[in-house]
Amino acid sequence: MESASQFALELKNITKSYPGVLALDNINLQVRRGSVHGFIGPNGAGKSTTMKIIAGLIPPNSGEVYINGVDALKRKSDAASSIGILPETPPLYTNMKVRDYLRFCQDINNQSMPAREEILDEKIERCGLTSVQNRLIGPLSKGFKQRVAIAQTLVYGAEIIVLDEPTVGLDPNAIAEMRDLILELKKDHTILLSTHQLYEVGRVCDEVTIINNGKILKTGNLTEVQSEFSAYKTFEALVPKVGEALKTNLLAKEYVQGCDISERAGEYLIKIRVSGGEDHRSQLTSLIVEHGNLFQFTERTMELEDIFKEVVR
Amino acid sequence: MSTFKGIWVLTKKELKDSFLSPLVYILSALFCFLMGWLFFNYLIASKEFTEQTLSQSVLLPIFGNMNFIFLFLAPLLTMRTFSEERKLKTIELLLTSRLSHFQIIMAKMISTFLMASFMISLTFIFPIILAMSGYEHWSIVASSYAGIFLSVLCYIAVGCFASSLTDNLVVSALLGFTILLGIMLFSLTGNATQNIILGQLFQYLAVPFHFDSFIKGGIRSYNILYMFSFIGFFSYLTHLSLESRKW
Repeated sequence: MESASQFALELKNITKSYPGVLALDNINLQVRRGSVHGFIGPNGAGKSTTMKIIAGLIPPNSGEVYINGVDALKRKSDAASSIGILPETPPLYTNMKVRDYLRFCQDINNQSMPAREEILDEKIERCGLTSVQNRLIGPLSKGFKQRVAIAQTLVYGAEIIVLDEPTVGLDPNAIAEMRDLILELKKDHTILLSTHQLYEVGRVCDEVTIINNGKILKTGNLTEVQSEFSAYKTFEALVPKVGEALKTNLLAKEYVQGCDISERAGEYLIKIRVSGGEDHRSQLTSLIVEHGNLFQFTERTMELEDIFKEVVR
Repeated sequence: MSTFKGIWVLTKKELKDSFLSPLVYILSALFCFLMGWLFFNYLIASKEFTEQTLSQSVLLPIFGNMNFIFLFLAPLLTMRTFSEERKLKTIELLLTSRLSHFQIIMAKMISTFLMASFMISLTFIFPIILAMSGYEHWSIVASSYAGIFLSVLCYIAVGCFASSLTDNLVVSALLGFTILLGIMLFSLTGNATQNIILGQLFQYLAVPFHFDSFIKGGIRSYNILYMFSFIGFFSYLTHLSLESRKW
């Protein structure tokens, strides 16, 4: 049993409805202090609504939000100084210079912070903005703008950073830079990362929550979630031809949970989902060889993308 | 963060933004041209009305016209305040900060008021010119300026409310102008009605009715009470408009 102080961010029994739509249905979310928590779900799943509730932009119909142990719905101002929010559209004053903008963000959030200029210098350097700190935000590239938006969440000493789709619209290089920045921030921040990029979640997150139709479908440590799903194994067999008999015989085996066949450049790829911890490789290869040649037989580990598809199915 | 510090931080930023944009200079030039032209005409015409004082023949119409011109200029000055923030989504930065709605609204109103004050200050040359002709009723000048500042502040409160309703600058300006025109028309409605009480009520609800007391040098406590109630009412509506984002 973990104590509440281990969680930087906690949502308890949050329900939110819009006229005719139940956006969040009694969800519970816990983000462990010092972790990078991936928050994933298809469009309309309730991610943005959850983010807005955490940011204090909209109130829930019921439930509680705790930011660093502070009830964010009752003590909004106290909670605001320990959380930095990067919305999907970065809130940037494009007519301001980078440094002036970051100083302004410091001023409106925590004016009494000591050593403000030193902190500003440190965050500017950390986010790789030193070369552009005296330039206007407007003409900067999207990658730099996103960095400015992230720096905005750091300059007033927030411990928890909430990033809503930070890699949307970035080129592959900028995405890689953003990933490095998130990993760098992980050293002394708790990060809640909402994204569609499942590959990124797999690379930077320690914990993951999958949401769909306003309900949390799966939440926990990333490796635990992956191992939970590794109770199923997927094998891929590449064969020159395939008949209905092979598929029927495969599905007739009690340990085979599913079988999909697709054509690939004149050959056929059979995806076989197998349950249980036993090794069925020799039985499966023998069965396939009985029906013709077998070019390739591989075991696929369950990637986050597969888990996501499986969970939201 | 203290309330005033918070207001000042945002006011400073708003003022810097405004004075770096050409809008305030274009509007100031237009305002100067119109006021200068009107002042020149009233001054020339005052020679023919020898039985009237300079206050009656020049100051009274000049301040009346200035008030009318601000009916159009105030919505143009306020259109950016919230509409642009909504359009650029920067409103979320302010709403998720430690600033309260009160601080945000006050900062926006004060910065716009200072912009309008800059424009009004360009007319300080008029009393100086009148002084050269021997004019010395400075209390009328002072109360007229107090009236125009308060009246403009009322218009700014309406403009900020209109701006908080939409993310379109043009719609914001038009909406602000329409509300102000509607309030101004209360005077006409008051004149048209046969019912004395209703007529007086409509008169009382119109900003120009109270503004007239200032330029005629007969300020009553209810004039000041009305102006501040008006500003408070529309500031509250702006607060409700910001709050409605949560509904």
